[in-house]
Amino acid sequence: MLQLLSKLTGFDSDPDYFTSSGLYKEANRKFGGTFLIVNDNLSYVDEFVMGENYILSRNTPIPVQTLEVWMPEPGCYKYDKDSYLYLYRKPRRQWLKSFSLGNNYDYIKIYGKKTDVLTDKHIKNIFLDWKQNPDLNKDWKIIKNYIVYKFHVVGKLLGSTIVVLDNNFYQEIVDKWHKNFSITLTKVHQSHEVAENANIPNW
Amino acid sequence: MVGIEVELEHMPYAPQIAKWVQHTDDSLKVDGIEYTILTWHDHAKVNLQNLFNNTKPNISTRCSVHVHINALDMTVENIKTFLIYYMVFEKALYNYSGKRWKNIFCVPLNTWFFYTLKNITDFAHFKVWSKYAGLNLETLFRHGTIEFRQMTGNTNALYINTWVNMIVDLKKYVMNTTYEEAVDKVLTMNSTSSYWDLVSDIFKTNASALMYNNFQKDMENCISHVKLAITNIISLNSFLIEEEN
Repeated sequence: MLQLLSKLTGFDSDPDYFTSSGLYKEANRKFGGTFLIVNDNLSYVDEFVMGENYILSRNTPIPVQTLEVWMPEPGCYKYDKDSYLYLYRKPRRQWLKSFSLGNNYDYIKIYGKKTDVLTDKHIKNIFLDWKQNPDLNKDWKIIKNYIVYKFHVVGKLLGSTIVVLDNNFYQEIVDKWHKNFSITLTKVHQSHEVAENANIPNW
Repeated sequence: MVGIEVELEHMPYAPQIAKWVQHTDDSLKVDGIEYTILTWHDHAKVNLQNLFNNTKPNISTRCSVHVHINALDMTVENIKTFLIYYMVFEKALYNYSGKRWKNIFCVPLNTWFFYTLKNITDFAHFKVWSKYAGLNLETLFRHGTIEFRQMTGNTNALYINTWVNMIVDLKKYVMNTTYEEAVDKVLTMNSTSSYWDLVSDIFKTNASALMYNNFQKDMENCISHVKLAITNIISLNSFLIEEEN
């Protein structure tokens, strides 16, 4: 466990400099309240219990074999059945070193129930979506016949045609979909799709 | 004018060097120390390399090099233009400066900046900027500078000097163009040759240092992101379709 914590906290380069209690303290400061990949599964970390080889996750002890930081690339992720969000980073709370919603990450809901409150289960679904291909650029997604760039609707699928809804993204749509679709620049504004500058996140 | 902060560890006997000032920094461990200089110049570069050679400091992931450029001569329009070109090249700049894209102390703008640039009309908009952004505008109010926090800790003054020159190149280019020209350029740039032309126009002799295998792909991704910032975003807010049943 000490080796794992030492690597996790970045103190593995100076093994003689830190005491074991110091390592646990530092690990709890940097990872308590975050999600870590524990034994290949995502787990919320309440705390690393001093001198023990397990973490407390929502008050349940989980024996630890492996520990990895989870810092997913921003992108469109599925968080529930037919529900999508755009996950992005927040340059805040610099001492938290793994995923922590509201601290170093936040999200914009793209599609799904407006009333959804994100739970551990949803975050684990995002992890599973991410895990399918961690290196894939997830900025582009087709959701319910809409082409979405990050959280912005840029096109609409109508049969074998893509109607470009934001002409500034015409080139990107051509590059990605010209093999399978004909692409038209006809701009179709439908009132329910347009809401200027709504839902812009704070930095 | 350019100022620099260089963070080092394993420096129990940190010597004084001419024009450089020493500071302690809580983020550093193991005899960590920070050297700063208000004006980077050739002598400063030589003195810094001599320090590296003589003391052989250890560089951990906690160490970094921060560069400040003077922004007292910049208008809000200049800053917005700067943001456009910076974001266009952000991935390339991170690639050069140490691949710290995922680092939490220098979060890239491409991963969080979604504000509509045209709505920024005065400096007050930058007051809430987080200092842990890779490009830090919070220093506008403390030092009159823009801070670049991306560079990894290192002991190569020549490497640092090239990084400084790139940043200076970027500012010089921005000061000789307009926000409207920048917007127009981004919205019409869609070919590999136009990327090469722009990187050569801005970074001149330093442009080759920004070349790498994924350069074109990364430029494309960054340009798409910048388009979000310079156009009116059609928000997905109304696209949220409730499925209450």
